[in-house]
Amino acid sequence: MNKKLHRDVFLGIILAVFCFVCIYLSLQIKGDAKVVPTAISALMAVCSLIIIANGLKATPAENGEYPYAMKFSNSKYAWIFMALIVGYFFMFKYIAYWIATPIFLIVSQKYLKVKSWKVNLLITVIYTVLCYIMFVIILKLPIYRIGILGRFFRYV
Amino acid sequence: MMAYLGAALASFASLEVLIGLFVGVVGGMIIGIIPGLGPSVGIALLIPISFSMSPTAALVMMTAMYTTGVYGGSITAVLCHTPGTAASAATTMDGYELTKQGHGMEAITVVTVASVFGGLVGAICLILFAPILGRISLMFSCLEYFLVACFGLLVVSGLTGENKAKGIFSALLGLLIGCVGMDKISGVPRFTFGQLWLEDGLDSTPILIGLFSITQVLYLVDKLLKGTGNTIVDDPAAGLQGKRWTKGNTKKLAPTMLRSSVIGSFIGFIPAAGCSIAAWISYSISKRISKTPEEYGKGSVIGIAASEAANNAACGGAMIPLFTLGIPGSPVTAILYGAMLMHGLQPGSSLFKGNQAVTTYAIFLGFLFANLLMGVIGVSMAKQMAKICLVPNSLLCPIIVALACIGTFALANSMEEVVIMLAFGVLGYLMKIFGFEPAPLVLGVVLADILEANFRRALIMAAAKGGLINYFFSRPVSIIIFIIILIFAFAPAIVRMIAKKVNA
Amino acid sequence: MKKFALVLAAAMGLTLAACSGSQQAAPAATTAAAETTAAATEAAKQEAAAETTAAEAAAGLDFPTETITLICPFSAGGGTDVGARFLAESLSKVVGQNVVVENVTGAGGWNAWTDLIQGDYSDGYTIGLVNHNYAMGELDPENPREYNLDSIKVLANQALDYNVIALRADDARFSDINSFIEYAKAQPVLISAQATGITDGDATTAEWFNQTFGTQITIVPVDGASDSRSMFLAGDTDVFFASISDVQEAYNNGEMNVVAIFAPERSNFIPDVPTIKEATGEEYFGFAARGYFYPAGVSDDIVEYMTNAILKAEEDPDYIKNMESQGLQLDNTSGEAYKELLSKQKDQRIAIWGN
Repeated sequence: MNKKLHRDVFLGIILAVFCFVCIYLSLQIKGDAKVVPTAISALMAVCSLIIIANGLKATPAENGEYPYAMKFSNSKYAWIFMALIVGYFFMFKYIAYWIATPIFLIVSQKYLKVKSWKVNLLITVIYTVLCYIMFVIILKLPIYRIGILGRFFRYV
Repeated sequence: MMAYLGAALASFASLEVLIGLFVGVVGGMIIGIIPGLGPSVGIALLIPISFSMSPTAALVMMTAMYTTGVYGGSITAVLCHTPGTAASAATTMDGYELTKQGHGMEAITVVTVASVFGGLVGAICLILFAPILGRISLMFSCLEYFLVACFGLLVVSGLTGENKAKGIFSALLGLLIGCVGMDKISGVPRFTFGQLWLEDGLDSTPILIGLFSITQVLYLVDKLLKGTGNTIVDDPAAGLQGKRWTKGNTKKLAPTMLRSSVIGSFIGFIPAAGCSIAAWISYSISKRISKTPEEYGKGSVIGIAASEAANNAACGGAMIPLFTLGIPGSPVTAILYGAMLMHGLQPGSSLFKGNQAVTTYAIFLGFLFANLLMGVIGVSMAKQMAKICLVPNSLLCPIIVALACIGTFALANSMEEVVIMLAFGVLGYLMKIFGFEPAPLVLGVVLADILEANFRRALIMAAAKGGLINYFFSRPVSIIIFIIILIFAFAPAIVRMIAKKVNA
Repeated sequence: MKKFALVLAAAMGLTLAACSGSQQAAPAATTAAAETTAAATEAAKQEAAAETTAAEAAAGLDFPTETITLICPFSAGGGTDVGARFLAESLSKVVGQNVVVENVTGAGGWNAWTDLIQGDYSDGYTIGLVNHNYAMGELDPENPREYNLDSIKVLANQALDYNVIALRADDARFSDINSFIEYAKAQPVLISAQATGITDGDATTAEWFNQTFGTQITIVPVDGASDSRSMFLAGDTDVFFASISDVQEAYNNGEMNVVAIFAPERSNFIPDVPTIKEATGEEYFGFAARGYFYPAGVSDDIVEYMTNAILKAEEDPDYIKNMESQGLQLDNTSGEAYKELLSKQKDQRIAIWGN
């Protein structure tokens, strides 16, 4: 039977490659400032080798599978939500916080299966209003500088 | 001093000062709860608002915000795995476990009591010993800061979790991230890739929020959509369990709180080391000397008490060098320093004599009252606050994300911090999948600065005085810290060796 | 006193007349403007008041009609920020509009400066704060900046803080500048500064000492002024280069021995302290300056209006009281003279460091 390797082996190899890139970049730094980053990257490389070694030593359970608590392939909902968050970020940055946030709140609540539209909209409105009072009126944060439409929400 | 205290107490008859105290306490809790904002951002935002206030009222407000901001950050750490500042990162692990088991109310009460206890000890040190201790902080310089940071790094062993190699890798990665930016000693850019916003390096707060909050949001969303639960609490039907304070907690926690408060005050007092380092060191020492270390990380109230008492005591400790010498004891006190100057309070011995002494002691008393007020609010509202863990994640997660984004933006009025937070959110989730602990990474980022810059400064200073070894032996404080490090590192091994010999 | 006032008034007249770019008026304006006295401010008040009315009448500008924003490149509560807030209060009385301060921090001020120069702020509603470090940016050997004094239009200065050299009062090894110099020639002495090269004022002062007198002053780079002070008080560094406000209290209660000031004249805050020229015969100027600027795209009449408005705001008695309570030394060099003041420091540093 083909003995499958513990994923730590592959992980360790990727980390080791990352560490060597870091060592290379650190050596490019001029003068004394290169010492500490190079040393840290080297130690990290050693750790990644230990991770590889531990991975090789790990023995699978009886059915040939390893008992991973969480799996990369098994987390698609997390990645989709992350994509939502990234979309929110771009809306925040290029349009305005006060437009991006209600859209994000409504869409994400729907995605997370909030059935009642009443609750959905109530939360969105309360949050947006409270945030505006807190951050713009009381704390005077320059949020109006972000996004094309940001300046319409300036409070002076 | 007693005369000053009497007059200082009288200043609390002023409405402005009382309002300042109240705004500071409530504002601090709100700011601590919002991810991304913390006492440093809060106080910086208060500075313009305090412009027209009297010095006493303004500084009472800000010192109140300091201690309650740290406390507020621990509330969300316990309830939502969202530490408000790095100082609550150690509390997060144990507190959140308790919340999941439905004991959120007890966890919050322990956090509150420990924080108040620590804050009171810090306040007492401040009031009674500030002028005396002031001069002692001058004995700490670059080599001492470096050694304290080394001790902080050693503490990582208490946070690595099961897999040591992965934990150490996290810590080293944190140290490497801490190297990003302009090198403080030679001015050379490191890992900045020509980007202006990277020149000051990566701040630990967006990294903390990303690793702890965003990652947790992703994890909860995944759990929700897979159908395994829509609340933080594992068993929502059972609701909140337990009482606020189980019998015997006082006896169990008192020694820990006392020890942690002393450790916290002392570490806060050391310039450069702040509340977060104090909390981690205290947690780690507590775990090291505990008879049941395996409980830590799984819902140990002792662990929570150790971390919380230390981080609030450190607030008081950090104000000692600030008021006596104008040397900030922690990053937040550096901002307080600016506020003090703005209100005409020039740090030094003149703050403890004459007219200014009344203001100074009023501020210290304000700090003490703030801790008490925070305790009253916290304990009475523990049940209400704990109910958050019963709110469905489908409502909680979007709000946490939206708040985290605006809070992180507020740090430096820039979107780059938000990018960092989101990037570390992804990284944190990957780390969670593959079994890497996030706490060592944050610890590494916080310590990297203090470690490297101070070591190289110490080298420059030692060169002028005959070499590093000679310099080290000429400084008693360095020798003491070094011995403490050796004891902490090797004591368990030595104890085991002795035990084996005795049994043989 | 009156003589100073007349000289200053004449200098201001010359400066404003020389707005077309002539360099000759500048040195006179710089020297005279460096000393701030109440009487001098009085004379300037009359001059500037006349100028503002004239400018307003002549321009017929429809400006400003909405809120003006001051961008401070440093964090809230710091010296620069406090000065900006005081000025914002008095400026809003002069222009009749709200003036708010926003902090855009990072990269030693370059985050804000780069944004102001690259962004679209030519409507004149956004004013930037500039300090003496701005002009040095392009000289940074590791990280040369793209922009310099020609990329902006300076308006007026706000505070001019000359540097001093201080020794610990109880230091047994030296008690005045000459004994310090002798000691420092024989062995290395330590001083802290925020960087080690041409971009830092204290490092440049140390280099000047080393070049002029043959001393061996070595620099320990630290994060900020309060670190410098604490290292000095603790005995880790041997000598302290600082601004007057840093040493004022210690000077008053005898903890520090301030031995010289790097200015053309003595300062009223510390009148017993000789200038470096009086003490050693060699001349050197070191100072911190903080003022205001517009990005280059703003039209000249708005620039002139705002310059006069700021100068008028700087005479507000509340403003003066607030600034002095912070120990900030007032100064109102403006226009070309201000640009010249900042350039002079840059030229001095180039001469010392040799690039």
